[in-house]
Parts: sequence; C-alpha cells; structure tokens
Amino acid sequence: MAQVEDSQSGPGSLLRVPALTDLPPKVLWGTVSAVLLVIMIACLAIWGSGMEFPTTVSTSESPTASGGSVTLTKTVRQVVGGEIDDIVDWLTVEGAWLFDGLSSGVTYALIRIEDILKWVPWPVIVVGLAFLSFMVGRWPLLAVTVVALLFMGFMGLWENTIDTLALMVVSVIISVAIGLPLGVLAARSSLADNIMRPILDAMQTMPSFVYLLPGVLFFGLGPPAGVFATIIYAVPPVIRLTNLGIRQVSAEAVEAARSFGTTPFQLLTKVQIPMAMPTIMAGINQTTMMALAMVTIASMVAAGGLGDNVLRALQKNQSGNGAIAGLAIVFLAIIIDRLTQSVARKQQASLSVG
Amino acid sequence: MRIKTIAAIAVLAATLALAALACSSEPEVVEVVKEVEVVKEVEVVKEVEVVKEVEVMPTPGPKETIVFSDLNWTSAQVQDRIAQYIVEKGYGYPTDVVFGATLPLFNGLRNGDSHVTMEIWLPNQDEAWMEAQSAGEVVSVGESLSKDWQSAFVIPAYLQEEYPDLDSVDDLKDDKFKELFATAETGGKARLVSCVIGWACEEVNAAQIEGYGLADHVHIVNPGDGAAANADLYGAYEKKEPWLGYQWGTNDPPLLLDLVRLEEPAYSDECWFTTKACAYEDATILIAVHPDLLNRAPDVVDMLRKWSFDIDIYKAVAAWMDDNPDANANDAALWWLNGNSDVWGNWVTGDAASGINAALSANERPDGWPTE
Repeated sequence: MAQVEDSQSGPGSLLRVPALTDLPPKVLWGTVSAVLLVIMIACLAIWGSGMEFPTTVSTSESPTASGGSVTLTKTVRQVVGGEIDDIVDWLTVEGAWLFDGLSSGVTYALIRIEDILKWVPWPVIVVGLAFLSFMVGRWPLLAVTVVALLFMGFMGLWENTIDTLALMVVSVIISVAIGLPLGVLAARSSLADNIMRPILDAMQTMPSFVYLLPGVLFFGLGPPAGVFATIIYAVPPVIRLTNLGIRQVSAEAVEAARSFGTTPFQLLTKVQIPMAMPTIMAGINQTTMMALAMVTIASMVAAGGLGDNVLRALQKNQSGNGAIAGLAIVFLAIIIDRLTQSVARKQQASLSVG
Repeated sequence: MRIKTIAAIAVLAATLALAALACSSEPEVVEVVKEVEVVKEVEVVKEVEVVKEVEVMPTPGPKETIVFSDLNWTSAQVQDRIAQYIVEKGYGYPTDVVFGATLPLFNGLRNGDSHVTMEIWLPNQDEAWMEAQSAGEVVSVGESLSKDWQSAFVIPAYLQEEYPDLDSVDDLKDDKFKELFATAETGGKARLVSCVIGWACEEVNAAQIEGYGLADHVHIVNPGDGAAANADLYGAYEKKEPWLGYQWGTNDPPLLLDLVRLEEPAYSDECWFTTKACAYEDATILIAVHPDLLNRAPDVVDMLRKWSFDIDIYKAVAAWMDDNPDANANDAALWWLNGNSDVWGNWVTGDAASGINAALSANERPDGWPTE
C-alpha cells in the first residue's frame, strides 16, 4: 500500500496537505454525490419520521340520531377494490352467455367421463390398472397400484375418487389444449415469452381464494368453477416446459431440417415438437400433479370428489378421516404419476433409438 | 494518500450531515417532544383514574383485558365493537378481539382464550353448547338479537314476484318450477345450494329434503365454504336468475338481498327428533362468557345481562351500513352509540354512561378495536 502511495505522489508527499483539486474528477464527483446523498437521506429520515402513507382519499360525515356525526374515511384501497368489484360484476352479467356455455360444456364432459368410469365394474378397473402397472413398472408398481385401489375401495372412497379423477382429467385436457399452443408461441416469440412469464408467475403464486370467488360468480357453484381454479393453477408447467423443450432443440437439427426445405409448420410438427416431447411430457406430468393438489380447493366451490372428505373431516375435527382422504389423493397421484412418467420415458427411449 | 483524502471527506460529510440534521430538525424535534409530553400527561391521568377506581371497587388487582370472540359475520362484529366501547370507556377494562370461525372461537371461549361471545346460535350449536355448559366452561348471560331468525330454504323475492305460485317446498315437485332451477349438472332436478360441507346443517338439510319427499326432485350442491355459497347467490342475484338454496340468519345475503322463505311444515320437537321433515326451530342467540369473568368483572357481566340489542336495532345498523359502503363495523358501532344513548343507557351504570358519553363527545375510539 505504501509503495503505491509513494510511486503516485513522489517524495515529500507525506507532508503535503492534499487539496481537493488533486483528486481525479471521478473520485471528486463521487464523493460530492455521496455527501449529498447522505444529507438527503438524513433530511428524509427526519422529516419522514412522523409521516404515514396517505391512504385516505376523502372523508365524509354521516349524521347520527343525536345530532352529531360519524366521520367515514374512503381509502385508496376501497377505491381501487371497488373498481375491481365493478369489473367483476360487469363480467358476471355481460359475460354470462360465455360462462354459461363453458360451464355446460365442462359439465357435460365431466358427466360423460364419470358415467363411463362408474359404469365399469370396479374389479375391471383394478385388474386393468394392475396390468398396466405391471407393463410399465413390473411387480413393485403393480403392488402399489393394487394396494392403493383396494384402499380407496375399502375406505368407501371409490365414487369420490372417480369424481376427482374425472375432474382432473378434464382439467388436464383443457390445460394442455391451452398450454401447448401458448408454449409454442412463447418459444417462437421472445416478446410473447416476456409478456407471458409474469402472468404465469402470478397464476402460480396468487392465493387460490382470490380467483375462486370470481370463479363462483362467473360459473356458479359446481365442478366448472373447480375446473376453472384448477386450470389457473395447473396450466403454467405445460406452457413453461413446452417453451423450454422447443428452445432446447439443437440448432443443428433445426438447421438440417431447414436445409431440406421444411416449411415452418413442418419444422414445428415434424422436428421441434417430437424432439421436445420428453420435456413437454414432463410438463404435462407436472400439470397433472398440480391439478390433484387443487382437489381440496376445488371442493370449496362444490366441485365434489375427495376434497369433500378432507373438508368434512376438517370441519368436524376428525383427523383420522382427513388422513384417510388425504392418503387416497396421494395414492391417486402416485399411480397417475408413475404411469405418465413411464410413458414419457418410453418416448424418450424411442427418440434416442430413432 | 487516497485513503486519507477519502477519510477526510467522509469526516466532512458526516459533519455536514450532522449540521443538516441539527438545522433542519430543530422545530420538528420540539414538536415531537411536545407530543410525547402530551401523551405522557394523558397516560398519567388515565393511570390515576384507574387506580382510584380500583381502590373503590371491591375486586382487587388491576383490570385485565377482556377478549371478545370476533365471529366472522357482521352482526356479531358490530355487537362486539359496541360492547368493547362500553367496556373500555365505561368500565375501564382494556379489550381485545380474536378473529376466527365459529368452532375454533367456541373452543377459545371454553379454554378462556376469549372471554365474551356475543352470538351463540342455537340450535345450530346445540351439541357443543350443552357439552360446554354442563362442564361449567361457559355461562350464558342473556340473549342478543331476537328469536325471529331461522335457517330456511329461500328464493329471491324477484323470482316469487314472477312466479307467485312458487311459495312452498312442495312446489318444487312441480316440473314447471323444477325446470327453473335445473342445470346441466342436475339432470332435470332442481339445483339446491345447501349447507357448507361438514356443518351440522349438511345432514339436517339432507334429512329434510328426504322427509319432504324431494329426493327425486332436488339435486343438492354442498359448497366447501360459506363465502362460496354467498358468491353463488350474489352471482345469480346480479343476473336476476332463479336461485334456490339454504340460508341462515347470521349470513350476509339475508340482510343484503331481498330473499323469501319457502313454506315448510312447522317445527315440532316430535318431528325434529325423528324424521326432521319440518322447518328449523326459531333460533335462540345467546351471549356467553367464560366463567372466570363472573368474578373478575362482575360489573361487565351485569351490563351484558341487561344487553338488549334486538333484531330491529341491528336491521337499522345494517341499513345504515348499506347506505354507507365505506363504513366498517367500527364506524357502525360509533354511529349507533352516538345516536342511541337512550337504548344503551339502560344497560350501564350511571358512572359508566357518563364515561361513555364523554368518550363519544371527544370522538375517542377504544384501543381494543381492530383496524380494518
């Protein structure tokens, strides 16, 4: 350190009092602005110490019977919240045709799926799923599947499990139908990607109750409102992972395809999507799991299924019943997860061979 | 060398900052000091008052906080705020509230985590109430609101205007009316939004529908949350669509919307304890306290015994709140206390009344009121 000083200012420098002008301009201005900043902060700290955020927009007086009055304050939050309320109210009335249509469609699909699944006798489903499990996961998965299904049956949760399954299937189908095109769009256009990302973040972090109530206003109590809430929560992984998968397709492969004269549509459907398929399947698997996680929330709006059992147990303070219903949801998730994962793995395998 | 200059400048900056601080803050500091002094004076005065009262009163020790159960519906909250005002300004006890749902708050009252609940709804809470009362964990000190509210199946008034013949649960067997409420989900049956999953009314309503012979005509929808049930009704009401469902007195929609009850066979003990094919019994709404309060604050218990905040009073408050959407429960309590000293004056002692009137004219608000 001493050496540096010496070499800079030469002999005798220790005795010389430094003048401000000796400093390089950068240091000088930096110091001056630092001083100003310190003064500013000090002043703000003093003036601002007794200050509160101005949250009041206006006050009004409401008379009382005794001739006095009560002061009412209108806050910024009330004004902004009121505006949002107005928008939701307007949508409820003006968008009724759209929401009623969507609601009927979703209900119809749900009822069909439930009817089919409830028409098939349970032993057929158990044996069928056991066989499927054996094909993809051999004995261990077969054991898990059979134990899980029998657990649901013996605990009297079979019908509710099927309701939940139907709810999940419809939610996932709609999520994929929405998410896949949006994921492709995000992969092709960085602008779309930049717009979508914060929206997806909001969808995944916004507490579900916030959009659950507008959902009920729009769709009414019932499965469609549950599907709506589930989709909001579960669609982001498909979009994100479709986007990621397509962006990860090697430039060489795209280049090669281009040199053979593919159209952009062919490039997408014949090269990019097939090569991104393992990642997309991982996204769909994630979506499925998240849809199952929403089962209890969906039950709050009368979507039915296993969530009902969880809620009832909570209300009546029956930990045992809650644990049983919770376990049934976990088992359902495990079966679906293992089956869909193995499909994804098979695709990956065939891709690497091909 | 550089380090030294920077150090020198830093010292300079610090001096400057101190100077700025000193010069700019001079008047402010004085004000702050003044405020502090004022606050202190007030505190001292209060303390002295409290000490005096304690000396006069037979109960020893300082007055401990009285905690109110803040049930999550408006009438209970307004009653809590009014009672808090009276207890704090009239009787000098600090107050506080705990928020929550019915069952957790009732357990809180039994444990002594909260001390006063202004609305215990019977028969809805019959079982838990009987159990706690026989165990000596809660004591009823009177009734609030009054008996004319009940749980019932309702439709919006605009619907009955359109279909005057639709006025009893039996009419739901009529295909003409069933169609009104049918949706894709119900397969031709009338959709009936019943009770929250897991509440006692879930089973009661199901038994009633069975008992009325409506099982083949009605499709029951049980939401998982009271707010969701309300939202469903609000949505239909907004669109002026048909709506059929269960509503109960403490809920907001019966106060905010124009709903009419469908006629049901009248309540009788005989029917209620067998088939349940009859209407709910008129509700009784009790004020309950934790037993400790009887010894600790007998003056407050006396006041609660005289409490008579009946349904007409509450309807006036609710109407005022509807006219003043910016108003919260605190404002409503203040508004009502200001104009009705002849009503609450009958509940309190003369000393308490003068304390409350003084606080009201000084526009004071109790420390225990939650900010909303």
